[in-house]
Amino acid sequence: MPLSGVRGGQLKFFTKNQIYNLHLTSLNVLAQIGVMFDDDAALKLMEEAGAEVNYRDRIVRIPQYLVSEALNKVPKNITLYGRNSRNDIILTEDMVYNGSANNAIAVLDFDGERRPATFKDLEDFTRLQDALENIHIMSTPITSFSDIPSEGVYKRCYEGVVRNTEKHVINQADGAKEVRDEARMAAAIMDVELEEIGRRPIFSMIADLAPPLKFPKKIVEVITECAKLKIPILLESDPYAGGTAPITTAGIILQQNAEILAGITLAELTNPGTPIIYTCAPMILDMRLGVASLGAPERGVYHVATAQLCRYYGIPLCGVAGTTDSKMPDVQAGYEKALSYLMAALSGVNIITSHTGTLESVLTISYEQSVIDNEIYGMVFRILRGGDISDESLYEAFEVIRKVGPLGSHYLSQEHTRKYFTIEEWLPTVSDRSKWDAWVKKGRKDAVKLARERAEEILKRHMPEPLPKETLEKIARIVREPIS
Amino acid sequence: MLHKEKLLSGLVEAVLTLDEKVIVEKVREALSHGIDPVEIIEKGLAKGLKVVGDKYEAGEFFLMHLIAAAEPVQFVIREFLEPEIRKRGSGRKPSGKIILGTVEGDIHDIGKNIVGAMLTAANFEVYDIGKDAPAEKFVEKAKEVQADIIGASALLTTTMPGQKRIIEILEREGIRDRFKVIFGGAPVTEEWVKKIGADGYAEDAVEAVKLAKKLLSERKEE
Repeated sequence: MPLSGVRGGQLKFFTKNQIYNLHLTSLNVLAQIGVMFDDDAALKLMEEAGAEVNYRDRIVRIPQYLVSEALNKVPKNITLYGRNSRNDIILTEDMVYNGSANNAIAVLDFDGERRPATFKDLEDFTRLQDALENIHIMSTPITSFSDIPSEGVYKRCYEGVVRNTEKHVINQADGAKEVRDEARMAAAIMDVELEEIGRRPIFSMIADLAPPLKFPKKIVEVITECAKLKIPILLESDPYAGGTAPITTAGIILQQNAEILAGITLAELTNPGTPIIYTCAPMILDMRLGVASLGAPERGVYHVATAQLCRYYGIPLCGVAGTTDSKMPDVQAGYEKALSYLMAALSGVNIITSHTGTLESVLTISYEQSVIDNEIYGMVFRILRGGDISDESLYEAFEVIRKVGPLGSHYLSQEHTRKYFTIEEWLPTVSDRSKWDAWVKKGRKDAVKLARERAEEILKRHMPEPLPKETLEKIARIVREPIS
Repeated sequence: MLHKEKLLSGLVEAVLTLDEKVIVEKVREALSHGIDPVEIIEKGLAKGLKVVGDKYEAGEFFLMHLIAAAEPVQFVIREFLEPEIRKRGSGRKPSGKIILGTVEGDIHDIGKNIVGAMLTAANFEVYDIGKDAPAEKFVEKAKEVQADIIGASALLTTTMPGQKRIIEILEREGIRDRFKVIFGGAPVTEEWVKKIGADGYAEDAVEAVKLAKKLLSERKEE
């Protein structure tokens, strides 16, 4: 039984015409302005397919028909597999799932001190987030460590993560060699040949291009290597409005779309049928500080627009929401995370990469915040589930109202209440709903304190199904191989 | 003997079904087999409710399960078992007598009803004087049945003075020390209850039962 998501996509800001015009203008950007592929093989592939290549500037102008052909080759439905099939995820229109986190460099520890992250933190955070019920897909919680070298860090991360979760994992790689190494690790885990890993890929790969309109050599390598192995690619653009993209909503969405369409064309030319997840992380550049903001409200609007575009293309969408610029698990963290997460979910972003537990624009990660974030996801999923107003539900409600009536006092002892309680009511895990006196009696615990208790409890007892010893040895050998 | 044990454990299971029909049926069955009604309450129904209470504390059951178990138990005690006990003239010793009501001007009674069901289930003899009840009525009833505890609920800040009035009447009549007085309701706080000189405050129905038991044992020591 695969994991089930919740239907989103109720929120639409733009008309079909507006979305269609965005698409047409994106095709014009690619045909008239073009993108840069910093890779000879990619330029050659594009030229042979009919694109106009300027080898001096490494710029490719892609004709409309090539993009359209590529879009036709992208699989409409993608399944993301877990090493335990219970965690499989079928990405279909409007179904929303939650992905965890990546890229923190520091840990806000239980004592409130911020310190550099260690590899043990990566394993602990993975284990903690593996246990949280509203996280369906894992990523790499941390990618920079004080106790291991940065060379070959992504495959080391994959080893640390896959040991501590049975869920699907979203990976990163520094070039083709590392993609291949991670695929070999996955093949060892699944006990299949490397060539067969595309049939049931237990990880997918982020390919993060460089706005405006640039594909660095290593990113081209990652895209083409994944395409060859049929590993799902999260083709990501993360432009800053006013910085690396135009400042308007139209401008940033237009450029981002052109960039991702170029990536799709490259992947589908390399191997038709390569699974692509359209991935966007558009943000604003804060013009007072000159930093990118991950808690700003504009991203909510960007998600609505991008989700509408992806519905038009019929391609699954991954977005980034539930993030904050705050340094502590505080009020700012709460409102920025909740608002942006709700917007992404209502937009119908299929995978919301929520950077679970992170603060400080995803640079710092916190145990307490991980548990609090899980609470936010639960609340948002409850909102998405909406309410069932049907002939049957109205009939049942009418009957129970008749039963209690004006002479009755309450519905607590009605069968109807027990039958629908778990469907209707979301149960908080760390939100305290008691009144003042009771709260004081329980020790004046706020959400952060309650989250700390839950995190400590999970870390004490939760351990996912371990990998067999031979498999662990096999993947450790691949991790130890020199990177180049 | 084995048969009796089976009937009693059947009662425990019946309470866990939360189904009034099943509970009534099992109580009738036990009575028809000559089981003592006091035993039916203490070794059957109360035991079942204890299991329900434990499940609530463990987070497996919720408020509605507590009430769905307590209300039918309250019903069978009132309709079947108490008349039988009176008929036999045998003594059932409730753990205590409590007057329960919502104060004057207040027609909210869900909280009071929940507390009433829970207290009955905990073997209290509950005298529910209803909603919109004047302070005098609480005191009269308490004197009449020689209650141990008076409990008054107020759901509005504007009706909270009705609680204070109960204390005032008791003091005026010089009988304040004859009863324990406890208050509850959404706007009611520990601080308010202390300020007006009552004996206790409970946050919810489960706490109210604990509080009533605690006050009762204090009273017995006095």
